[in-house]
Amino acid sequence: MGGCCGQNGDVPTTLEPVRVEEPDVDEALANDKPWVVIVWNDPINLMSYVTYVLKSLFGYSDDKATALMLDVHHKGKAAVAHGNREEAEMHVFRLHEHSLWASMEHDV
Amino acid sequence: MSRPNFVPPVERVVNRDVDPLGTFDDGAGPKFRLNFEPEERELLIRLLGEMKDLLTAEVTEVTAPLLHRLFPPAFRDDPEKEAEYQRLMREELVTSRVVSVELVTAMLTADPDTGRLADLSKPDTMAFMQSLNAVRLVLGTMLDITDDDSAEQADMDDSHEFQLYGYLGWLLEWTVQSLSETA
Repeated sequence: MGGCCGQNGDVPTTLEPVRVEEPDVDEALANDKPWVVIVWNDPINLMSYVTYVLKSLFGYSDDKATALMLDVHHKGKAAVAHGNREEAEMHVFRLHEHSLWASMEHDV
Repeated sequence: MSRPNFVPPVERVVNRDVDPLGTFDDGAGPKFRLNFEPEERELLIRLLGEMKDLLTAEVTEVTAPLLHRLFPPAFRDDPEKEAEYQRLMREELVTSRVVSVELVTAMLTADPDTGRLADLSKPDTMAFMQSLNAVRLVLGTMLDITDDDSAEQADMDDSHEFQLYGYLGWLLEWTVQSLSETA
């Protein structure tokens, strides 16, 4: 629920406020679209470190974390997690805490 | 972070007869012991202190690329969402990094009575790894290691700064391996 245009108490209403809310609904739907968390290649972080961080943050197996790290290294980036906006933001935050070059975008 | 003028003990490190990070189990889970010379501890404490200052430093020509690397954008193509993310998360990320730096600085400070460092738990050691990595990242950014070619060149450069970068990488690798080998 946004901060504006909500409950109107005893103020007489017109049709306009209803229309104003429509973009908020679209926005909410857009935010419900799944997000993907990307880790980008960088030349400083050690390969072993990146693998270990992916294992410890996401509980991935050695094989899966290594495969993702190699994707980052060779292809320049890898999708390491998916989720709604809130989940993806938390993943990005924790990756940033570990100094990985992470961002998020809408899943396609 | 100022340009370090310390000569890292790389030669001695390579020939040292004790691992920099020892692992053992005292029955209550894995424990880690840092086997550092006093000068190594002082070096790391100084670098951590400089990074702590950097975390809350003003954005200048010098600090901007370093801060950008410590606080990268979460939304690359959406300035509005990015501004919101920075507004909500930046301070939390600063705090998280500062807490970790302070914890690790305490770990590297010897007990005044025994002259020894306390043994570390696994979460302690992960915090050590995280801060060590951040220090190395800042130094690497200062040294313009921006692609895989410059990273390879860094391996061959034997100036003090690149030696320090190599030393931090070596220590980090040890830490990651030690952590990986424990359940």
